[in-house]
Amino acid sequence: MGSSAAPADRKIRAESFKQGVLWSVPVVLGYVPIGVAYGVLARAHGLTLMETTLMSAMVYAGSAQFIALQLLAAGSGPWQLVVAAGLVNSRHLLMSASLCRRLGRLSPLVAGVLAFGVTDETFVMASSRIPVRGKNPASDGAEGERWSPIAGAVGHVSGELAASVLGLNLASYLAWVGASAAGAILGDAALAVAGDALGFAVPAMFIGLLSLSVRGPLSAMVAALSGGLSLLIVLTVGGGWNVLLATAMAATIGTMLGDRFGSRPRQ
Amino acid sequence: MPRGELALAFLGMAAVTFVMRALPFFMLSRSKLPPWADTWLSLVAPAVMAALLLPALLVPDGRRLCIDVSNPYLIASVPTFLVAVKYKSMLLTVLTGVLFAWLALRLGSY
Repeated sequence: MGSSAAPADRKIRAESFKQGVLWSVPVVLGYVPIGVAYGVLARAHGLTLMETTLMSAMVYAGSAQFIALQLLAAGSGPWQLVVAAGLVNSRHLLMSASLCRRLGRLSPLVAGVLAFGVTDETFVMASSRIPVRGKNPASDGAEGERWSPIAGAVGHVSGELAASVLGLNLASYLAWVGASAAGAILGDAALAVAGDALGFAVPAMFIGLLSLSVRGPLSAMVAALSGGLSLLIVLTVGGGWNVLLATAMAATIGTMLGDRFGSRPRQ
Repeated sequence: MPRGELALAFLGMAAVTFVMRALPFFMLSRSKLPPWADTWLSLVAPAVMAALLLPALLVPDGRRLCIDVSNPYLIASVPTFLVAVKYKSMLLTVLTGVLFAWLALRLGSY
Protein backbone atom coordinates (compact mmCIF):
# COMPACT_ATOMS: atom_id res chain seq x y z
CA MET A 1 0.00 0.00 0.00
CA GLY A 2 1.08 3.59 -0.32
CA SER A 3 0.87 6.70 -2.39
CA SER A 4 2.92 5.12 -5.18
CA ALA A 5 0.02 2.83 -6.18
CA ALA A 6 -0.93 3.02 -9.84
CA PRO A 7 -4.39 4.48 -10.66
CA ALA A 8 -5.73 1.02 -11.61
CA ASP A 9 -4.58 -0.33 -8.26
CA ARG A 10 -6.23 2.53 -6.47
CA LYS A 11 -9.51 1.85 -8.21
CA ILE A 12 -9.37 -1.81 -7.21
CA ARG A 13 -8.63 -0.81 -3.63
CA ALA A 14 -11.52 1.67 -3.58
CA GLU A 15 -13.78 -1.19 -4.72
CA SER A 16 -12.35 -3.46 -2.03
CA PHE A 17 -12.91 -0.76 0.57
CA LYS A 18 -16.57 -0.44 -0.46
CA GLN A 19 -16.89 -4.21 -0.29
CA GLY A 20 -15.60 -4.07 3.29
CA VAL A 21 -18.14 -1.38 4.19
CA LEU A 22 -20.84 -3.76 2.94
CA TRP A 23 -19.40 -6.55 5.11
CA SER A 24 -19.91 -4.26 8.11
CA VAL A 25 -23.73 -4.11 7.83
CA PRO A 26 -24.51 -6.91 10.34
CA VAL A 27 -21.81 -5.58 12.69
CA VAL A 28 -23.22 -2.04 12.53
CA LEU A 29 -26.76 -3.34 13.16
CA GLY A 30 -25.45 -5.04 16.29
CA TYR A 31 -23.34 -2.09 17.44
CA VAL A 32 -25.99 0.61 17.25
CA PRO A 33 -28.33 -0.65 20.00
CA ILE A 34 -25.50 -1.78 22.27
CA GLY A 35 -23.60 1.48 21.72
CA VAL A 36 -26.75 3.44 22.57
CA ALA A 37 -27.21 1.32 25.71
CA TYR A 38 -23.59 2.02 26.66
CA GLY A 39 -24.09 5.76 26.14
CA VAL A 40 -27.26 5.85 28.24
CA LEU A 41 -25.63 3.87 31.06
CA ALA A 42 -22.44 5.92 30.99
CA ARG A 43 -24.52 9.07 31.56
CA ALA A 44 -26.40 7.25 34.34
CA HIS A 45 -22.99 6.44 35.90
CA GLY A 46 -22.10 10.14 35.96
CA LEU A 47 -19.88 10.40 32.87
CA THR A 48 -20.28 13.49 30.70
CA LEU A 49 -21.19 13.32 27.00
CA MET A 50 -17.54 14.09 26.20
CA GLU A 51 -16.19 11.36 28.49
CA THR A 52 -18.72 8.82 27.25
CA THR A 53 -17.80 9.43 23.62
CA LEU A 54 -14.08 9.66 24.35
CA MET A 55 -14.00 6.24 26.03
CA SER A 56 -15.66 4.70 22.93
CA ALA A 57 -13.32 6.53 20.55
CA MET A 58 -10.15 5.67 22.49
CA VAL A 59 -10.78 2.18 23.90
CA TYR A 60 -13.29 0.90 21.31
CA ALA A 61 -14.07 -2.31 23.18
CA GLY A 62 -17.66 -2.87 24.28
CA SER A 63 -17.19 -5.38 27.06
CA ALA A 64 -14.22 -3.49 28.57
CA GLN A 65 -16.27 -0.28 28.53
CA PHE A 66 -19.28 -1.89 30.24
CA ILE A 67 -16.91 -3.44 32.79
CA ALA A 68 -15.36 0.00 33.36
CA LEU A 69 -18.82 1.40 34.16
CA GLN A 70 -19.43 -1.45 36.57
CA LEU A 71 -16.05 -0.89 38.25
CA LEU A 72 -16.58 2.88 38.44
CA ALA A 73 -19.90 2.27 40.19
CA ALA A 74 -18.07 0.06 42.70
CA GLY A 75 -15.60 2.89 43.40
CA SER A 76 -12.56 1.30 41.75
CA GLY A 77 -9.40 3.24 40.96
CA PRO A 78 -7.90 3.87 37.50
CA TRP A 79 -5.48 0.93 37.72
CA GLN A 80 -8.29 -1.55 38.22
CA LEU A 81 -9.93 -0.27 35.04
CA VAL A 82 -6.67 -0.59 33.11
CA VAL A 83 -5.89 -4.10 34.37
CA ALA A 84 -9.48 -5.20 33.70
CA ALA A 85 -9.28 -3.84 30.13
CA GLY A 86 -5.98 -5.65 29.56
CA LEU A 87 -7.35 -8.90 30.90
CA VAL A 88 -10.67 -8.87 29.11
CA ASN A 89 -9.11 -7.70 25.84
CA SER A 90 -6.26 -10.21 25.95
CA ARG A 91 -8.54 -12.43 23.85
CA HIS A 92 -7.81 -10.06 20.95
CA LEU A 93 -4.28 -11.52 20.83
CA LEU A 94 -5.83 -14.67 19.39
CA MET A 95 -7.97 -12.78 16.90
CA SER A 96 -5.18 -10.51 15.67
CA ALA A 97 -2.85 -13.50 15.35
CA SER A 98 -5.43 -15.22 13.18
CA LEU A 99 -6.22 -12.08 11.17
CA CYS A 100 -2.61 -11.28 10.36
CA ARG A 101 -2.11 -14.83 9.13
CA ARG A 102 -4.99 -14.18 6.73
CA LEU A 103 -3.78 -10.79 5.50
CA GLY A 104 -0.11 -11.47 4.86
CA ARG A 105 2.55 -8.78 4.86
CA LEU A 106 1.46 -5.24 5.65
CA SER A 107 3.33 -2.01 6.24
CA PRO A 108 3.58 -1.08 9.95
CA LEU A 109 1.18 1.84 9.49
CA VAL A 110 -1.49 -0.29 7.79
CA ALA A 111 -0.99 -3.07 10.34
CA GLY A 112 -1.42 -0.60 13.21
CA VAL A 113 -4.57 0.94 11.73
CA LEU A 114 -6.14 -2.45 11.03
CA ALA A 115 -5.13 -3.79 14.46
CA PHE A 116 -6.91 -0.90 16.20
CA GLY A 117 -10.19 -2.02 14.61
CA VAL A 118 -10.04 -5.68 15.72
CA THR A 119 -13.11 -6.54 17.81
CA ASP A 120 -14.98 -9.80 18.40
CA GLU A 121 -17.49 -8.86 15.73
CA THR A 122 -15.20 -7.39 13.05
CA PHE A 123 -12.88 -10.36 13.50
CA VAL A 124 -15.69 -12.87 13.05
CA MET A 125 -16.87 -11.03 9.95
CA ALA A 126 -13.40 -10.66 8.40
CA SER A 127 -12.41 -14.25 9.08
CA SER A 128 -15.63 -15.54 7.55
CA ARG A 129 -14.76 -13.68 4.34
CA ILE A 130 -10.99 -14.13 4.16
CA PRO A 131 -9.49 -17.64 4.19
CA VAL A 132 -6.22 -18.38 5.97
CA ARG A 133 -3.46 -18.04 3.40
CA GLY A 134 -1.63 -21.04 2.06
CA LYS A 135 -4.00 -23.32 3.90
CA ASN A 136 -3.21 -26.73 2.51
CA PRO A 137 -2.74 -30.05 4.23
CA ALA A 138 0.86 -30.42 3.08
CA SER A 139 2.27 -27.22 4.57
CA ASP A 140 0.39 -26.89 7.88
CA GLY A 141 -1.10 -23.66 6.71
CA ALA A 142 0.21 -20.56 8.32
CA GLU A 143 3.37 -19.31 6.66
CA GLY A 144 4.07 -20.96 3.33
CA GLU A 145 2.13 -18.97 0.78
CA ARG A 146 3.54 -15.59 1.64
CA TRP A 147 7.00 -16.60 0.46
CA SER A 148 5.86 -18.41 -2.67
CA PRO A 149 7.37 -17.66 -6.11
CA ILE A 150 4.35 -15.48 -6.92
CA ALA A 151 5.09 -13.19 -3.98
CA GLY A 152 4.28 -10.09 -6.03
CA ALA A 153 0.77 -11.29 -6.77
CA VAL A 154 0.25 -12.24 -3.15
CA GLY A 155 1.37 -8.78 -2.04
CA HIS A 156 -1.13 -7.24 -4.42
CA VAL A 157 -3.95 -9.34 -3.02
CA SER A 158 -2.81 -8.38 0.49
CA GLY A 159 -3.43 -4.71 -0.35
CA GLU A 160 -6.95 -5.46 -1.56
CA LEU A 161 -7.77 -7.51 1.50
CA ALA A 162 -6.39 -4.79 3.74
CA ALA A 163 -8.61 -2.23 1.98
CA SER A 164 -11.66 -4.42 2.60
CA VAL A 165 -10.81 -4.91 6.26
CA LEU A 166 -10.24 -1.15 6.55
CA GLY A 167 -13.74 -0.50 5.16
CA LEU A 168 -15.25 -3.05 7.54
CA ASN A 169 -13.36 -1.72 10.57
CA LEU A 170 -13.91 1.96 9.85
CA ALA A 171 -17.68 1.63 9.34
CA SER A 172 -17.98 -0.49 12.49
CA TYR A 173 -15.88 1.98 14.50
CA LEU A 174 -17.93 4.99 13.39
CA ALA A 175 -21.15 3.13 14.23
CA TRP A 176 -19.87 2.33 17.73
CA VAL A 177 -18.64 5.85 18.52
CA GLY A 178 -21.70 7.48 16.94
CA ALA A 179 -24.13 5.21 18.79
CA SER A 180 -22.33 5.88 22.09
CA ALA A 181 -22.67 9.62 21.60
CA ALA A 182 -26.32 9.24 20.59
CA GLY A 183 -26.96 7.17 23.70
CA ALA A 184 -25.29 9.76 25.90
CA ILE A 185 -27.46 12.50 24.36
CA LEU A 186 -30.60 10.38 24.79
CA GLY A 187 -29.42 9.40 28.25
CA ASP A 188 -31.70 11.29 30.58
CA ALA A 189 -34.83 10.79 28.47
CA ALA A 190 -34.18 7.05 28.16
CA LEU A 191 -33.62 6.77 31.90
CA ALA A 192 -36.91 8.55 32.58
CA VAL A 193 -38.77 6.01 30.42
CA ALA A 194 -37.05 2.71 31.19
CA GLY A 195 -35.55 3.85 34.48
CA ASP A 196 -34.01 1.25 36.75
CA ALA A 197 -34.60 -1.57 34.27
CA LEU A 198 -31.80 -0.20 32.08
CA GLY A 199 -29.39 -1.03 34.88
CA PHE A 200 -29.95 -4.65 33.91
CA ALA A 201 -28.64 -4.00 30.36
CA VAL A 202 -25.07 -4.55 31.59
CA PRO A 203 -25.66 -7.90 33.34
CA ALA A 204 -27.81 -8.91 30.34
CA MET A 205 -24.91 -8.14 28.04
CA PHE A 206 -22.59 -10.25 30.21
CA ILE A 207 -25.12 -13.09 30.00
CA GLY A 208 -25.05 -12.79 26.20
CA LEU A 209 -21.26 -12.67 26.04
CA LEU A 210 -20.99 -15.58 28.49
CA SER A 211 -23.26 -17.79 26.39
CA LEU A 212 -21.24 -16.93 23.28
CA SER A 213 -17.90 -17.65 24.95
CA VAL A 214 -18.82 -20.97 26.57
CA ARG A 215 -18.03 -23.64 23.99
CA GLY A 216 -17.80 -27.04 25.55
CA PRO A 217 -17.31 -28.54 28.99
CA LEU A 218 -13.92 -26.97 29.80
CA SER A 219 -15.04 -23.36 29.28
CA ALA A 220 -18.33 -24.09 31.11
CA MET A 221 -16.38 -25.49 34.07
CA VAL A 222 -14.03 -22.48 34.08
CA ALA A 223 -17.00 -20.07 33.96
CA ALA A 224 -18.68 -21.82 36.90
CA LEU A 225 -15.43 -21.84 38.88
CA SER A 226 -14.71 -18.19 38.13
CA GLY A 227 -18.22 -17.08 39.04
CA GLY A 228 -18.08 -19.04 42.30
CA LEU A 229 -14.65 -17.67 43.24
CA SER A 230 -15.71 -14.12 42.41
CA LEU A 231 -18.81 -14.49 44.57
CA LEU A 232 -16.77 -15.96 47.43
CA ILE A 233 -14.28 -13.06 47.32
CA VAL A 234 -17.06 -10.45 47.29
CA LEU A 235 -18.79 -12.06 50.28
CA THR A 236 -15.62 -12.57 52.34
CA VAL A 237 -13.12 -9.79 51.52
CA GLY A 238 -15.41 -7.47 49.57
CA GLY A 239 -15.44 -6.23 45.96
CA GLY A 240 -12.60 -4.60 44.05
CA TRP A 241 -10.18 -7.16 42.69
CA ASN A 242 -12.66 -10.08 42.74
CA VAL A 243 -13.14 -10.15 38.95
CA LEU A 244 -9.44 -10.09 38.12
CA LEU A 245 -8.43 -12.60 40.81
CA ALA A 246 -11.24 -15.04 40.02
CA THR A 247 -10.57 -14.83 36.28
CA ALA A 248 -6.83 -15.40 36.58
CA MET A 249 -7.27 -18.32 38.98
CA ALA A 250 -10.08 -20.02 37.02
CA ALA A 251 -8.36 -19.64 33.63
CA THR A 252 -5.11 -21.01 35.08
CA ILE A 253 -6.82 -24.00 36.69
CA GLY A 254 -8.75 -24.61 33.47
CA THR A 255 -5.54 -24.49 31.41
CA MET A 256 -3.88 -27.06 33.68
CA LEU A 257 -6.91 -29.36 33.56
CA GLY A 258 -7.40 -28.88 29.82
CA ASP A 259 -3.77 -29.73 29.04
CA ARG A 260 -3.94 -32.79 31.26
CA PHE A 261 -7.06 -34.13 29.58
CA GLY A 262 -5.79 -33.12 26.18
CA SER A 263 -9.04 -31.33 25.37
CA ARG A 264 -8.25 -27.87 24.14
CA PRO A 265 -10.91 -25.37 23.13
CA ARG A 266 -10.25 -23.82 19.76
CA GLN A 267 -11.20 -20.26 19.15
CA MET B 1 -12.85 8.78 40.69
CA PRO B 2 -11.61 12.34 40.06
CA ARG B 3 -11.82 13.64 36.47
CA GLY B 4 -8.04 13.64 36.01
CA GLU B 5 -7.78 10.01 37.07
CA LEU B 6 -10.62 9.12 34.71
CA ALA B 7 -8.66 10.55 31.76
CA LEU B 8 -5.64 8.55 32.93
CA ALA B 9 -7.77 5.40 33.13
CA PHE B 10 -9.04 5.93 29.55
CA LEU B 11 -5.50 6.41 28.27
CA GLY B 12 -4.30 3.30 30.04
CA MET B 13 -7.27 1.24 28.85
CA ALA B 14 -6.74 2.45 25.28
CA ALA B 15 -3.02 1.62 25.43
CA VAL B 16 -3.35 -1.92 26.80
CA THR B 17 -6.24 -2.69 24.45
CA PHE B 18 -4.25 -1.52 21.44
CA VAL B 19 -1.22 -3.56 22.53
CA MET B 20 -3.37 -6.71 22.71
CA ARG B 21 -4.70 -6.05 19.22
CA ALA B 22 -1.46 -5.00 17.57
CA LEU B 23 1.12 -7.31 19.16
CA PRO B 24 0.55 -10.28 16.82
CA PHE B 25 0.95 -8.03 13.77
CA PHE B 26 4.35 -6.87 14.95
CA MET B 27 5.85 -10.01 16.43
CA LEU B 28 9.06 -10.83 14.56
CA SER B 29 8.53 -14.55 14.20
CA ARG B 30 4.77 -14.36 13.73
CA SER B 31 4.88 -17.81 15.22
CA LYS B 32 1.84 -19.32 16.86
CA LEU B 33 1.40 -18.98 20.60
CA PRO B 34 2.39 -21.93 22.74
CA PRO B 35 -0.63 -24.22 23.24
CA TRP B 36 -1.03 -23.43 26.94
CA ALA B 37 -1.20 -19.67 26.21
CA ASP B 38 -3.76 -20.34 23.51
CA THR B 39 -5.89 -22.27 25.99
CA TRP B 40 -5.47 -19.70 28.78
CA LEU B 41 -6.46 -16.79 26.55
CA SER B 42 -9.50 -18.60 25.20
CA LEU B 43 -10.67 -19.27 28.77
CA VAL B 44 -10.35 -15.64 29.90
CA ALA B 45 -13.55 -14.49 28.17
CA PRO B 46 -15.96 -16.97 29.83
CA ALA B 47 -14.14 -16.53 33.16
CA VAL B 48 -14.40 -12.72 33.13
CA MET B 49 -18.07 -12.73 32.18
CA ALA B 50 -18.99 -15.22 34.91
CA ALA B 51 -16.90 -13.38 37.52
CA LEU B 52 -18.71 -10.13 36.73
CA LEU B 53 -22.13 -11.67 36.42
CA LEU B 54 -22.55 -13.79 39.53
CA PRO B 55 -21.95 -11.04 42.11
CA ALA B 56 -24.05 -8.60 40.04
CA LEU B 57 -26.99 -11.02 40.12
CA LEU B 58 -26.66 -12.55 43.57
CA VAL B 59 -25.18 -9.73 45.67
CA PRO B 60 -27.15 -6.68 44.51
CA ASP B 61 -26.11 -4.49 47.46
CA GLY B 62 -22.46 -5.59 47.33
CA ARG B 63 -22.55 -7.21 50.77
CA ARG B 64 -25.30 -9.77 51.32
CA LEU B 65 -26.27 -12.80 49.26
CA CYS B 66 -29.86 -12.42 47.97
CA ILE B 67 -31.20 -15.61 46.36
CA ASP B 68 -35.00 -15.31 46.38
CA VAL B 69 -37.91 -13.93 44.38
CA SER B 70 -37.50 -10.43 45.85
CA ASN B 71 -34.38 -10.01 43.66
CA PRO B 72 -35.66 -8.60 40.33
CA TYR B 73 -32.32 -9.00 38.48
CA LEU B 74 -32.19 -12.66 39.46
CA ILE B 75 -35.71 -13.19 38.12
CA ALA B 76 -34.94 -11.32 34.90
CA SER B 77 -31.75 -13.34 34.39
CA VAL B 78 -33.70 -16.60 33.84
CA PRO B 79 -35.47 -15.63 30.57
CA THR B 80 -32.35 -13.68 29.55
CA PHE B 81 -30.18 -16.79 29.86
CA LEU B 82 -32.69 -18.88 27.89
CA VAL B 83 -32.81 -16.34 25.05
CA ALA B 84 -29.01 -15.96 25.05
CA VAL B 85 -28.43 -19.72 24.79
CA LYS B 86 -31.16 -20.28 22.21
CA TYR B 87 -30.60 -17.35 19.86
CA LYS B 88 -26.92 -16.40 20.43
CA SER B 89 -27.85 -12.77 19.69
CA MET B 90 -26.55 -9.91 21.82
CA LEU B 91 -29.31 -7.56 20.73
CA LEU B 92 -32.13 -9.98 21.53
CA THR B 93 -30.50 -10.91 24.84
CA VAL B 94 -30.13 -7.33 26.05
CA LEU B 95 -33.67 -6.42 24.96
CA THR B 96 -35.12 -9.47 26.74
CA GLY B 97 -33.10 -8.65 29.85
CA VAL B 98 -34.25 -5.05 30.06
CA LEU B 99 -37.88 -5.98 29.34
CA PHE B 100 -37.99 -8.64 32.06
CA ALA B 101 -36.08 -6.46 34.52
CA TRP B 102 -38.67 -3.74 33.91
CA LEU B 103 -41.52 -6.22 34.49
CA ALA B 104 -39.88 -7.71 37.59
CA LEU B 105 -39.27 -4.26 39.09
CA ARG B 106 -42.86 -3.17 38.43
CA LEU B 107 -44.47 -6.42 39.66
CA GLY B 108 -42.15 -6.60 42.64
CA SER B 109 -43.38 -3.28 44.00
CA TYR B 110 -46.97 -4.50 44.36
